[in-house]
Amino acid sequence: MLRTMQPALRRHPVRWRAFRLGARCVVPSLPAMAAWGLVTGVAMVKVGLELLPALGMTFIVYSGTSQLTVLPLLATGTGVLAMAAAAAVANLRFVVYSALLSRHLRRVPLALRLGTGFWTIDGPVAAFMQQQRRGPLVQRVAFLNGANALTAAVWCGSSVAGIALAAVLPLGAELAYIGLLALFGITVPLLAGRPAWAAAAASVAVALAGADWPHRLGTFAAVLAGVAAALWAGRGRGPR
Amino acid sequence: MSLSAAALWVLIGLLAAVTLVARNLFLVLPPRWQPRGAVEQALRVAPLAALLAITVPEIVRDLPLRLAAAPGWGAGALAVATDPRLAGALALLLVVRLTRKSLWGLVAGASVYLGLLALAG
Repeated sequence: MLRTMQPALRRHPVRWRAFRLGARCVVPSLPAMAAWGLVTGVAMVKVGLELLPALGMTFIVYSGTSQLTVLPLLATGTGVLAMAAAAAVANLRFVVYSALLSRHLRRVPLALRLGTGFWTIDGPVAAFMQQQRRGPLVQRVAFLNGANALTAAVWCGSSVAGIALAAVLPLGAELAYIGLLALFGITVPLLAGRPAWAAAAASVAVALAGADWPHRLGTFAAVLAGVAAALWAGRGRGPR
Repeated sequence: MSLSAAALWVLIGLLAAVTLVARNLFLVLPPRWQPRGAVEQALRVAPLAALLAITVPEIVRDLPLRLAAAPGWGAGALAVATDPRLAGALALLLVVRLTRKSLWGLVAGASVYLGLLALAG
């Protein structure tokens, strides 16, 4: 995809600049992607997936959330439809992201819109929102796709490395936690302004209460609580 | 793993479809369904809320066990202060707030976390 995009981007300097800016802005989230990709790759092999299905999961599914949700279920012999349903519930936060991005991608041709939506995950969305807070962002789709391209390269590369090195790498709770710390690191700069702090407080409270809920429902409930709290904290203020 | 090769590829196809639908739902809905005004403003915090919901429960995961094992306030406070997960996250938070660089924060957080793990043996 990147190879087909690059000549078109180079013919349009402003778009190319936005693409590179997107790639630069997502760099802080890459250690998290690398650690989680590696851990997911190792986990897929440990659960018994052979090379081709493991690569299929990495490149076709392209969702750590789905993969990490179904891997324990694969080991217990759960049905295919039940696993897909569990992944659908675990992916609900991306529905909220699609609502967030809908205004920015409204005028984009359908194929590019679907492609951009499909590979936009947490790190690029966070980088996009942070960049938007700094001022008006031109060529938003190019920015997003720059962030997406680098994120996808790191995620898929590290996942393949995990698949290849599964026999010699321990699953590594420490590595998984460092990946989580890296995610926490990209969260901290987003904490600015009253709505953000209100959202953080509500989201953390609900996430802790729902930590044991099945299929990451607690995460989705926490996102909804965070958005509701931001709505409450921002009432009476005009758009910024 | 008891799934046949064919069922496994069906699963991969279904998971890709689930991902595609979840990430594109509002991108294909008619414009009148798209959020606007205050809701659209509030949605800007969605990445923050999601990332905190993923990370914070993992950061404080061991605290209840450590507190239960520590008798009294003093021992409890020490158990909280020396929890590798929490201390690593707090170090990261502090460094990111001071330097505004997530990468430095990660270096500090990972160092504190691994250091405390090593000390604990």
